[in-house]
Amino acid sequence: MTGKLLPIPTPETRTYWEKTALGELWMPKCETDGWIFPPRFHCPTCGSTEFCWKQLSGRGRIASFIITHRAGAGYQGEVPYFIILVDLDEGPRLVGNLYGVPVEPSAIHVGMPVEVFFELREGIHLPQWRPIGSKVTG
Amino acid sequence: MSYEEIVIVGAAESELIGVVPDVSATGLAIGSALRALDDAGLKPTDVDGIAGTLHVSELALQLGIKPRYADGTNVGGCSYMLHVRHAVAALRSGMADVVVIMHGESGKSRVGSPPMAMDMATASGQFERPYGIAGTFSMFTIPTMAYLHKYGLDETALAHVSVAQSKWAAQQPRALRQKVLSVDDVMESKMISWPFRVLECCPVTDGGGSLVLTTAKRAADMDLKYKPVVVAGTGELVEGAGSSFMEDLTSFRAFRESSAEAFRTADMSVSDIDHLMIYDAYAHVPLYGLEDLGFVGRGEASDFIKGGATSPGGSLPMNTNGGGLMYTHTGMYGMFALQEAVRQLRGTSPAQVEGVKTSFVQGVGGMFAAAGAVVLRTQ
Ligand SMILES: [Zn+2]
Repeated sequence: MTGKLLPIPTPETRTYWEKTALGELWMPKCETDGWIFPPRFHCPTCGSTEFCWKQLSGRGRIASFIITHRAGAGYQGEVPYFIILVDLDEGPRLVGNLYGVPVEPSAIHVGMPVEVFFELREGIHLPQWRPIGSKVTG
Repeated sequence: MSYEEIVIVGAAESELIGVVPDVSATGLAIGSALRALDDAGLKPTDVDGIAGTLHVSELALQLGIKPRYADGTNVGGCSYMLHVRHAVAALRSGMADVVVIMHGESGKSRVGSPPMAMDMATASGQFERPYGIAGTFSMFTIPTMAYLHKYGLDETALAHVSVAQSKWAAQQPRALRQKVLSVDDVMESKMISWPFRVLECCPVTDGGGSLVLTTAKRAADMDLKYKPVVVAGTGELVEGAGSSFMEDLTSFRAFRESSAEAFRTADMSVSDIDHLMIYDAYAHVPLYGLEDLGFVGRGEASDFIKGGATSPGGSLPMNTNGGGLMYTHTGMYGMFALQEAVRQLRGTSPAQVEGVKTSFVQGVGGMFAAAGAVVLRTQ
């Protein structure tokens, strides 16, 4: 038990979490309207439920970030730490933590390229982020 | 078609705000409702409509009435702007004759408040919350760096928001933070969530506030202490899950669309507005608000504030109670923004601006999840 919060998958998101367990990032994609994130019952643009899941590269750029000095549940030993928004190369945006660089404002910038790795947390594999080519896993 | 004019005839905050450890959340709401009714020369038995973010059935019981109109809309801190909008429709259609909108929150002392539940199956629960989001200060704030980066601004853009509002708060005896701040004061205050220092984050307090609304026709027959304040226009938009799901990290659609509808229904534009309240849980929100409402161009809000336009003596007095940052922030602050707008239009604010005839009140709900706007004017 780390005390960190765990997502509760739903039928709409089950494939997402099944794929992260394989070390892959997948999202639903509507043929007409593109990526659907967060995963939903239907495409919010055209209403179709006929979409399929596609794999993403797991690479993107930091769209925004903060450095929190107050710990969320289970993060007590890690402050300060980054919480970042990543715009994936394919378009969708994910939240995550950034590892592999010193936790200070000068070590991070909007537009910085990052790649995904997966943190195993009590049976759930969460997408997390590091600089491209870094080997850190947390 | 022309609609019946709807007016605010009563407005009051709870007797005490700030740290109030011996009054429950409901008590803060009911206490302020009784004061607002007294302000309007009415009794609870005159009320046939209620609205609030607490359980409306509990509010009805506590107030001792059986309302035929109840609105429990809860989209976060701007819910009270939505309650005003819905009350206008209810009063115009005859669903109610007198509506009381109540806020009470024991944000600091947590008296009679349910524990805050987090649903880890929602979009935010699955894709935001697991990443060490300790509080709104590490999630509501997260689009800010995208905004600062886009316009080539540094962290002091946030500090200037707090500095400007501290000048108003210094004139407000009920404000929690009353000190006039310098940029250095703000920058040297405790780091919470870089680039946000504690003086750029709202405090957490206890408090209540209520409004009493009725038709202008009925108000004309009432013996009122103050002239009624007219609800000239309203707007709302529920956008969805929150800050990481925004289409554009540098602009908030719900601000743009709710404000546009409020201006349209009031038949006014930015140049008609004398006084502005923009819900400021954190210092970046007024920057987004000034631009999204159309008071300044894209990327211009920081210079506008820094240049003193929103400060005492400026061309657009904004957040004249000191805002959520300085005055009080119970958790769902929107009611206090509405209260200050009513005070300014009545001429009773401790930080009174000369000749305020119109006020625009913009609320945000959740973390960039919903918005409500209300345009008020003198009768
Ligand atoms: Zn589609």
